[in-house]
Amino acid sequence: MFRFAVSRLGSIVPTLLVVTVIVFAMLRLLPGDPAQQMLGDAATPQALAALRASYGLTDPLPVQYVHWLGHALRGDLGRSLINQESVTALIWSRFRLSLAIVFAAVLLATAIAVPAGIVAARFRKQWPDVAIVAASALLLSIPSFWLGILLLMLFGLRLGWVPVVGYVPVSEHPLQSLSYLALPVLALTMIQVGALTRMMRASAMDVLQLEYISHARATGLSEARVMLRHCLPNAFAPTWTLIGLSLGHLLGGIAVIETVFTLPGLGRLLVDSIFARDYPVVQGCLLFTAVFYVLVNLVVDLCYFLFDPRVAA
Amino acid sequence: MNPHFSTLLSVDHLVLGVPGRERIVDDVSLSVGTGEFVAVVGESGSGKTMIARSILGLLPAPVSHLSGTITLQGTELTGLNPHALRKLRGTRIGMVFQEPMASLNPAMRIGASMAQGLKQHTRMSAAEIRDASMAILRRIGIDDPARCLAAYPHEFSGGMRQRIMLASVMLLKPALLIADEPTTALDTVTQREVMEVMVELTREAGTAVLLITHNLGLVARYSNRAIVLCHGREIEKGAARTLLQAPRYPYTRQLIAALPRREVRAPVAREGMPLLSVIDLEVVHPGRRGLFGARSAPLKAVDRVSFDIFAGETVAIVGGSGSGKTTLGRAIVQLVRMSGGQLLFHGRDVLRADGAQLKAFRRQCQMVFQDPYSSLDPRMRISAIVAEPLRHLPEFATRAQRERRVDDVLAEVGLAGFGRRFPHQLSGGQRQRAAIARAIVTRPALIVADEPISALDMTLQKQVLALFQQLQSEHGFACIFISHDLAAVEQISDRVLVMHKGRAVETGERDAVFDAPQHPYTRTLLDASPHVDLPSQPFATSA
Amino acid sequence: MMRRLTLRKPFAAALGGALLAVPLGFAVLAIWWTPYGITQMDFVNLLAPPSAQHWLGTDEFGRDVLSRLMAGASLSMMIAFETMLATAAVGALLGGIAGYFRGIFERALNLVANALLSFPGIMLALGVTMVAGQSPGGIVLALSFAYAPSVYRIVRASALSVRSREYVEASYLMGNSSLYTLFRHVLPNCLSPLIVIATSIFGWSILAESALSFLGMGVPPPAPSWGNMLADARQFMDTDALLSIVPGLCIAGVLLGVNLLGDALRDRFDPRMEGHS
Repeated sequence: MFRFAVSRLGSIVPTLLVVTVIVFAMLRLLPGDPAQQMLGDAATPQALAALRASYGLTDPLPVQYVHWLGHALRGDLGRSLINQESVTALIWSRFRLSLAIVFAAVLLATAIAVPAGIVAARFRKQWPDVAIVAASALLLSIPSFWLGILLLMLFGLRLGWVPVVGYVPVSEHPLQSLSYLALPVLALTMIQVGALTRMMRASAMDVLQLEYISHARATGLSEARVMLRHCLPNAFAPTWTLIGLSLGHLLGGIAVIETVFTLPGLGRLLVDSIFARDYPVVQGCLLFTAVFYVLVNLVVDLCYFLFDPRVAA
Repeated sequence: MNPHFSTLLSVDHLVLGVPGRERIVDDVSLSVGTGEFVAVVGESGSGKTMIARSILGLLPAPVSHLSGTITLQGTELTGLNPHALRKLRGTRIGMVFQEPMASLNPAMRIGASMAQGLKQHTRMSAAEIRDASMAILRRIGIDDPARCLAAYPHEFSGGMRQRIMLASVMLLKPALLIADEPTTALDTVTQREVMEVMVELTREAGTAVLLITHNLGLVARYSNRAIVLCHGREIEKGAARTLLQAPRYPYTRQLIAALPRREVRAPVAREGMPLLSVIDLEVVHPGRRGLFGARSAPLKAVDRVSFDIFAGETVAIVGGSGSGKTTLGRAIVQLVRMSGGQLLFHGRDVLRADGAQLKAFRRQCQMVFQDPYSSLDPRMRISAIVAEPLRHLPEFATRAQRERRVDDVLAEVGLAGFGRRFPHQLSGGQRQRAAIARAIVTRPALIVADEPISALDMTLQKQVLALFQQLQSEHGFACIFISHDLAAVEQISDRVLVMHKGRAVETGERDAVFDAPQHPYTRTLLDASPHVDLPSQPFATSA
Repeated sequence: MMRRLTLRKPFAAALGGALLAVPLGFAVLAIWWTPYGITQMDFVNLLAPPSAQHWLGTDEFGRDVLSRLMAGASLSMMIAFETMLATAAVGALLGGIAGYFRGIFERALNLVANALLSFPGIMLALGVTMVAGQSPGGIVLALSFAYAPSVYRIVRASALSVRSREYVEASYLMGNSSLYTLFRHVLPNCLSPLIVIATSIFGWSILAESALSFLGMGVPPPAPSWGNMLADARQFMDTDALLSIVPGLCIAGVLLGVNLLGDALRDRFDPRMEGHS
């Protein structure tokens, strides 16, 4: 097990290295002169030269890369070109909100998908299965931002149950904050539950064909016990992997939800920075999200043995 | 009806099937007496598994019970309410299934798996259950039962898992044990071990056994009575001995006739240079590299094996799983790299051959694989598959020439007119014939057959074996026949090489090896292989 | 026992096909003709409800919604199609070669693919669009970078499994070269999973392109995309709900069609793949 963990850790280091190269290259491939863009109207030849020197823009690219990477490893992602704030601090404050929404959504979606998938597999081709499959197919096809808009129109405008714009941090008013976060979480839950249910159903169906299920039934165990004790633990493993992927997938697309519900999250930060040409922030957001995603998947992989002891061997 | 046993289970005129469609079991009646051992025999599609499942009420949808009754000691099982049925499962009737790899929940420790039945049906305390589990594990030959209880299924081999499975079911001491092909997926020696455990545990507890099998050897060795099924219908039933020695019905006779038997073989002329000389062949798998550079010990899959084979001869290589016989075969055809030793074809060293000589070797030496389902490219037509080896031969440059040869070969294997079809349109037996056709199309001098009949049904095995012999007598190629099925080897081989843990432990003429085995492992292998004795010889009974 | 229902697969596939055919038909039609010009403004009818003249009403500039939807369909589908082809071609070739020959080439490609797949969701696409520019070509490039690694992985896994099949071994035994075996036996047997993933990519591209457009990072106005139509409609959520409903419905419809078709294809080609019904 230990060997497995160490080897997995070892394998992500080269991947993360390539990630940093991609992020660095992306920004350097932009047309135009970074110094020019940073200074904008205040670009006199002397100012340009001074800026280039201070940012090390005259050094060869590999040197610039190493320099930048060195800073990043120490947690220093530079400063925003717009307001000189530390990029790291900016990302961190926004990330907390995005993560909270995504995490809550995945948790909720799993809680619904796991029993739904097992029920669907158990009653294969009968009405519960058909209903669950149909519902999953529908939910899988709905864009998250459109669902968000629809929910907002229904619960915000028509019914007035939740506020339509704005946001209040949890630290200030926990209860009120919930009313702002309820719809975004609901929207994300609904679109993810379809994918998780499908995976759970497929692996539960596979497991139900296996002999130890027949053996459990032949021993006289009740259906409920067979499902809970034998089907669920063995069918859950692929869904567990999908949970890690879901966290990333939702986080990657969070910008649209934050736009619909006007929430100051990481996604919005990225998009705004792109429009404002605030490149250090763009770089920081991309790097941060990628690293986070890789680490989440690593943790998910390492916990896989909890559901399938054969992996640890 | 057997006068010596009182009736435990009675199946009367059972009909199972999909309503509105075909019947899977059509009017079958059988009975099992207390403590009796009854076998249900049939090939695939005979409905034998369905009967077993219907007794427990575990029919897979959409199959359902259409008519007939099943009675267990006076209680009628058919139509019993689910709650009462569940009470019977495990306690009065236990069942063991076929697949040892999937028979135990991989996410549950052995101890927990074994405890399930007792927890469900009795009021025994956890300590009592643990003691009972350890006791029975010791009975089946496990030295450290405590460690076993804490382990997971994947830590054990297939044979071990089946034995644990049996122990687990017998903990509840059911009156009847249904065993559905419990040893089919195991090799011969392990098969014997598992069956012995089954017989021991059931005899001790007085449990009757209903064995579902296609292996007539097991029927002969262990059962009191047997019933033969074909396509869901009863063909014949009665005392096992009478059934096998004096079968009344054609199908039963066909089944028995399908068993391979030793025939007199014309002596092979072994003069001049051998066709192929294998000298001290070695295949070593390097040890796995640990994280910090340390290597685990290298594994010798084949440990200095030597033998010669002459034109027209058949040399059989036998052994259990892990013996290295398959690796040896693959090394000879150069699919696996040899770590040491020499291979001389017509006296010339194959390993030092240049391009042209290597090509000539490849043309002369072909292989037939075990799995008829993955040895043919699913996207190609049969005629294209069989024609492909010809593309390297200058004599078959034109399409017409190739087509002619392909047609000839397909006719030889009995697949005339099948050229336009795709593999998925052929049955398992037909696919294996197509694979044989592909192997002989270049008229090779040597064919290596790696377990070519293991994946087939009994009657098909006989047909393919007969085809092999016929082709060999017509074309005169030498054959290296790799198998764990000693009965087939007995029929087809001139000489036998027995392998164990990578080494060749015994080599000799077929009759000599089978009648007077020298090495202890050979003797174990021969003993383990259950065979049906023919009428002229005394019959070994079990009860 | 409950009565058995059969969700007949041909039915689901046909439904999927139908759901796709309608917007596809409109998309193709829109290349040459739409009821009104997409920038044509009708100042008299601003934010008008559906009528005989404007079947789906008009937007805040008086532009015909139906025409813009059709043009949007055209644009989205073209981008999705090009992405699908590009990723299939590049991913399959690289995946097949990597899975078959292995070695250092494969390890390097694995590294790059894993790195690209480390950017979740549309993050990578956002970044590449920033560099490549907000044009149809730029978006196709961005989405290709995001999705090609998935094709690579699937084809590589398929090639890995196929190369150890016995019919491939038989090919070596006949004396066939590695290259011949790759193209004659291995790649054709990787076709099935390729078709399935390609269908999925078509769907993902539609969704991603509309998300990008919604954020303002897609094809710039006045070119209509279902995504930016939804974005524009936000300010009129309370007054003209239809504007917010219809474009989303189109996206959902196409996605549902792609999903149903994809499932049918998966069943037909390889029931052992993930998510079989």
